[in-house]
Amino acid sequence: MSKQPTLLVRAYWAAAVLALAAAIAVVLFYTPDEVTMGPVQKIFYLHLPMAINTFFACLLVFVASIGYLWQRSLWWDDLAAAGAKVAVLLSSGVLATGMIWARSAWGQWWTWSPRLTFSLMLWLLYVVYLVVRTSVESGQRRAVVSAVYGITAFLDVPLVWLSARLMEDIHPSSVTLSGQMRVTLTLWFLPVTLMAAGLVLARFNLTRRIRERGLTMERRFHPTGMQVSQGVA
Amino acid sequence: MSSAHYAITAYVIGLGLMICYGLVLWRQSRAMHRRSRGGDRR
Amino acid sequence: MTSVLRQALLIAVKDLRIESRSRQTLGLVVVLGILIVTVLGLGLGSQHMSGSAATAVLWVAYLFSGVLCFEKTMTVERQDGAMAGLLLAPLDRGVIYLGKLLSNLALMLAVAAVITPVGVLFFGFDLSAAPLAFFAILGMSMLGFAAVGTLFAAVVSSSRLQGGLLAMVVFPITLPLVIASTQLTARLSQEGQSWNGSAFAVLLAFDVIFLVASWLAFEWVIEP
Repeated sequence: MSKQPTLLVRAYWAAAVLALAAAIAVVLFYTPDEVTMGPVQKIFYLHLPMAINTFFACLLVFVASIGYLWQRSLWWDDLAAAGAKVAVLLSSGVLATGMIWARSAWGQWWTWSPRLTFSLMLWLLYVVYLVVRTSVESGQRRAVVSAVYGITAFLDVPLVWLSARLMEDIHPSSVTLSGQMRVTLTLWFLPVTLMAAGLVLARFNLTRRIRERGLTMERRFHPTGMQVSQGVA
Repeated sequence: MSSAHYAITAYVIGLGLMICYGLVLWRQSRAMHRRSRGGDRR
Repeated sequence: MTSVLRQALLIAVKDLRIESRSRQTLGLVVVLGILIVTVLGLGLGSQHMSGSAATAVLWVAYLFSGVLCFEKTMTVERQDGAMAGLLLAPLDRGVIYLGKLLSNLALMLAVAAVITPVGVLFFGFDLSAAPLAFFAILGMSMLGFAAVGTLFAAVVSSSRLQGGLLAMVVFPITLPLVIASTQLTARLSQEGQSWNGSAFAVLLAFDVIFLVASWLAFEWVIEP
């Protein structure tokens, strides 16, 4: 097992940091303020990439859940768990930035508008996924429960979106993006996606190594049944 | 709070979440490396 | 096709017969439902409640009592290894799902039959405009809720059951049902409102998608 982060990993994170620095510089100095809303509109450049990446994290949970039910290997379960953790992380960011926007633009921290309601419901769906995992003892049973829930939750997402659209939209906001704004938006996808994907892989990697270490210790000390390593779920 | 302040807060929180989680993972990973090299056993 | 239905009905009838002998679950669940409606009635204290608010109150009562029903119909099989026997029978696993779904629906309808009049009484909302539509909407919502609940009751039941786990799992999934049904019933008590097509579409889509998905998934997750 590799001990130090490989050159590839270091290069990856260096690229992510550079992309982030560039994106921050662009949004501070290059991007113009939006005419009607002012500087707060710039939240959008972070909010949307995080939202899109949340979706892909949820998709990963879906695919990995199917993978687990198909092959019954905990490898898939670990992948689904990593995806879900990042999904909740990103979703929290989407919810927070959305609420800050709402507060600044319309004076209220919360409204039951379609976008905020959808963000909340999506967040809840995957938070519950994580809580389910702590409520069931680890192993194959937990993986089965998580996998069924992971599949169901993702199938629910379009319905959640459609039903959120039924809610009253008190403040419909239609912002037309100028050329410079479009460039900024596209640019921001790079650091956010790099970070999101990197976090999923880092979390997955860590879980796998913990699991393998647990197995190695077991194999080494099995004859006496003595448990030397701290069991990590 | 001015409009710009809201924007900055949003960026700090949004990016901060990701960065903090990354740091947490990094620290756990480092701790694992240390242990697997036969470091202090607690 | 008819044999599938017949087998499913056999399972459902068996469950309901067990339930009718002990009557413990139904009693508990009905009383719980009445209590929930009472608490909300006291808390909200309004003389006249809108259609959507009344639907929401009823929904809360249905959800909590429904989850208890789902748990019961699954744990019934845990006793004396009944599930193993059921699985050994020459039945398509999907039939077991349908049977459980039918018994869950029957229980939920029985509970609703008591709680709904109580709710109508307490909140005084006027169903006379479109009573059939109201019950049709609630029926479709309960079908979707039971479809998901039956699956997860099976998934969750064989683990060391932590209280509230089934409720926690089912509630976020079924939020679209709550939104769609309250939106639909909101219009009912107001005269001259047009039919909310998109809300109905969400309700219908939910039922279809999760009936099929749960029926398919049940086979993969059920175990003795």
